[in-house]
Amino acid sequence: MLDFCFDILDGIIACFTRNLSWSAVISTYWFLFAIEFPRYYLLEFVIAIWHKITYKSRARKRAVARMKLYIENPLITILAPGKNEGKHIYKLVKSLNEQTYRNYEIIIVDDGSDDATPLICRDLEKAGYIDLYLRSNIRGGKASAANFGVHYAKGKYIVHLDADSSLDRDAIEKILIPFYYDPKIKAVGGCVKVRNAGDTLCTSMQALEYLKTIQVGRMVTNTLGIYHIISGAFGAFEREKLMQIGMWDIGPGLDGDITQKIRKSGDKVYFAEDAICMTNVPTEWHALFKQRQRWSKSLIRFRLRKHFDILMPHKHFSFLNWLSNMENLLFDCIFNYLWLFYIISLMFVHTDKLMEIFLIGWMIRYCFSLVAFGVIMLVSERASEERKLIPYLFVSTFYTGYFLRATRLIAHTKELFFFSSYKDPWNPKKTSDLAQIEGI
Amino acid sequence: MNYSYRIKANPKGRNILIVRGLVQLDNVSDIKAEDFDAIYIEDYGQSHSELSFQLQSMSSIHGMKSHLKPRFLAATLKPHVHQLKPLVDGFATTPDDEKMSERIEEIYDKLAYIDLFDISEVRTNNYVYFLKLCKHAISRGLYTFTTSLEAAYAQGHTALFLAKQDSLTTNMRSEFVRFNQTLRELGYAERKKFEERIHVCPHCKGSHLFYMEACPKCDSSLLKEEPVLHHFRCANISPESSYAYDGELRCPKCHQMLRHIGVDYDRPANVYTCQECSHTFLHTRMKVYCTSCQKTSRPSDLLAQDIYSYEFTTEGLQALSSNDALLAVSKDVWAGYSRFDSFLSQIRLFSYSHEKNESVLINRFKLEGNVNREGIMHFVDDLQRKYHYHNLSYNSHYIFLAAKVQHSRMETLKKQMEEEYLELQRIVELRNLGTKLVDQDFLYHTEGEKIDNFIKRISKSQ
Repeated sequence: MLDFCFDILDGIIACFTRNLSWSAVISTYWFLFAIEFPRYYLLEFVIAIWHKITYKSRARKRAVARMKLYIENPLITILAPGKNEGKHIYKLVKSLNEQTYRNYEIIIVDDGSDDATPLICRDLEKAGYIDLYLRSNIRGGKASAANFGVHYAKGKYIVHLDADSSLDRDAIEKILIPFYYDPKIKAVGGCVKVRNAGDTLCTSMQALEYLKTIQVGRMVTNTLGIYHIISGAFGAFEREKLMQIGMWDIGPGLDGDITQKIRKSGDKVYFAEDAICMTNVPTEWHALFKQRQRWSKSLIRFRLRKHFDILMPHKHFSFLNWLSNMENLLFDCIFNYLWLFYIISLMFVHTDKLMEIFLIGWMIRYCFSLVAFGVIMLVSERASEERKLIPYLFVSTFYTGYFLRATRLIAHTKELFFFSSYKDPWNPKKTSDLAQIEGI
Repeated sequence: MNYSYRIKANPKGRNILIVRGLVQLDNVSDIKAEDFDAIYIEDYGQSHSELSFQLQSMSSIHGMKSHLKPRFLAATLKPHVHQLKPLVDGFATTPDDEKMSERIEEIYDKLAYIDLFDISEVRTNNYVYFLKLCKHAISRGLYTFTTSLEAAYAQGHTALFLAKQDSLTTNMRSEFVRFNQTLRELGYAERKKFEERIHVCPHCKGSHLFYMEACPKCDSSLLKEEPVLHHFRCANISPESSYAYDGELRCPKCHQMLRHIGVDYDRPANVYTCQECSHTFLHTRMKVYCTSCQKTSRPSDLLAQDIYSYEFTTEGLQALSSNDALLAVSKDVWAGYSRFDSFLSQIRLFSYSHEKNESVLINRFKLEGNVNREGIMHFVDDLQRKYHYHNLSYNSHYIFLAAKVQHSRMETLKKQMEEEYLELQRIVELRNLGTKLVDQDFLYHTEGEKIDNFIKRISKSQ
């Protein structure tokens, strides 16, 4: 055992002292340098700097929009559809009660709960904590629950929330402000962060991931005009626009789908990186694996199948929409298969030096992740609190580089060949079956 | 129908008053109480309401001449009696009916142990009224308070033979509850068994309630209920009316036709919309409307009332048969008519137990003119009904209306009593009773004055 360790150490020393040249490193880690670095590190770094530089002009723009918002002071509807979410509702309404924006109604839609949710919600409705409690006696799926709520909503804007999420006290105000930047903006996504970071290694890794892919990642895509997913956990929509596009269609992945629908209709979507929503994430790896499978499948189902027309030249072709989908498909799906090929080829070409390659790869990734964390610190509104996640950067390579990639790869393959999202119990069978027949 | 009443002796030698048509016994001077022992109603007048009026005016409680006397109805009238049955002792085909004669004897056997009230006395206060009910029950061998739920009465149940006497005012009802309590406290009656728990109006204790669905926001009952439809294919959920298209159901979102429930669509909920305020909701709020007092309450505000059946104890039977019970049960009665000596006792009693800032105010006036005792008693009876919240008494042409009052409200009450007096004067004038009201004055018990002096003032000044 000891001999084996010394062998590896010797190998690494040999690698660094004799074999390691820039050309050798780049040719071995071409995937990292040619694909991951430019997209996920360099681009984000540049945009974050740009973001900092333009801070003042953006602040002015925001102040004007905020003034417009408060002059109009429109009624908004806060809509939280869900099943068996009763235990979270009181916490949710308490956090809404703290909001700086006050002109809102709360609609809770219960999608056929079989626990105490109806009792809790009826009590809260009676006590005036929520304005309308709607219940489907038969479970119809998240999309139908949300549509049910929209039908009875009175607000000009609809803020869609997950019942187990809670908001910063200015989150509603901040998610509404972008509507006043440009009348073409019809939907705004909020920034979702992890509330239970630190509970387990699994939640801490997700906390890091959310910061990088949501707060920074979506800020970047938003700046480039290719922002393509408004989180189901926290998003705001103009009610009229929602009705016009037929509201939500059957999921899973309905949040990405509705964003596509809005973009396709010619309107804009926006990401408010400072409108913060906290949510609990899975604490166990197998639960996380299941959740990510579900999310990943929607990329194939919606972007590749349902909205394939975005990628094709047609009368209403939009380059930004094309780019948005193409970027998503390339980096989240096609390059995953390329990565698999890259890993296999590494295994065959450098069979004798795998451990060294792995260790050096980890070091390079660790350096990259330090850069990425620096970017997070530049963008985040609560940088000091998030600094405690630094130790987890050591293992983030395994999480983002291997676990998430492998999960996505499995999900995409299953969806591509077996249409497995239509069998997901997340949706009732009756709706999934019809959705599959209709190809939506 | 060539006569309205006649008296005929039955085989047992009892005089039976046979009534045909509407006869107000207490107003017929030809018939005296001692002239007859029982009543037989052969036919009623023009309508059912006349029969009802007839029976009530001859009841043990309201009737003076017929006080506690057995009363029977012709068997042919049986179908018309309905809820008035407890006021009747039986049915017979002829006044000489053997069974009827036996029943009369049975009742008289029991009446032999009962001290009758002085029939020349007016109905007096509510407690006397209740005691009359008790005496009636005992004379008929009913020793149990046969409480049962009855839709016909506003209070919802027939406690203590109150059947058919349902003109009780709210004030009387609360006194009735107290009366029952007093009977129990005195050991005259005891609870026999729990019958039922009912819910009554918190304002008037009535049980004739309508439960209505209302809008939780504006309380209106003008609601529209509509099912919502869920179209599986496109996840659209909206009211059924939005799907209606040329007699078919067509989805407003994807325009597909809905053919098969459970396959294409289902109906997951019913949604109410208020037609007054447009509020939408899933669950209506219940409101309760009381038909007796026309007030609306919430179901949670209703008062739960336990209904028990009671039974007279041996001690109770003895006390109620004699007039001993009257003093015992009515010692804390304030409102209603009292004989003058009781009236003075009550004033005295009040002076010992009243609150610091309380006093008693007496409105006294004289009936002047030519009027007989019966006429006066009628007038007093009317007064008692009209001013049931005052203590009322009569003594040698003087009428006393007494009220408890807080010192701070003394002047207001005086004004109110003055207005009442003026109103009474007008009524007396209009009725042309051959009398008029004069010499009105107020007497009140001042702080520190000895009660004997006050009592003397009340009596002496006459």
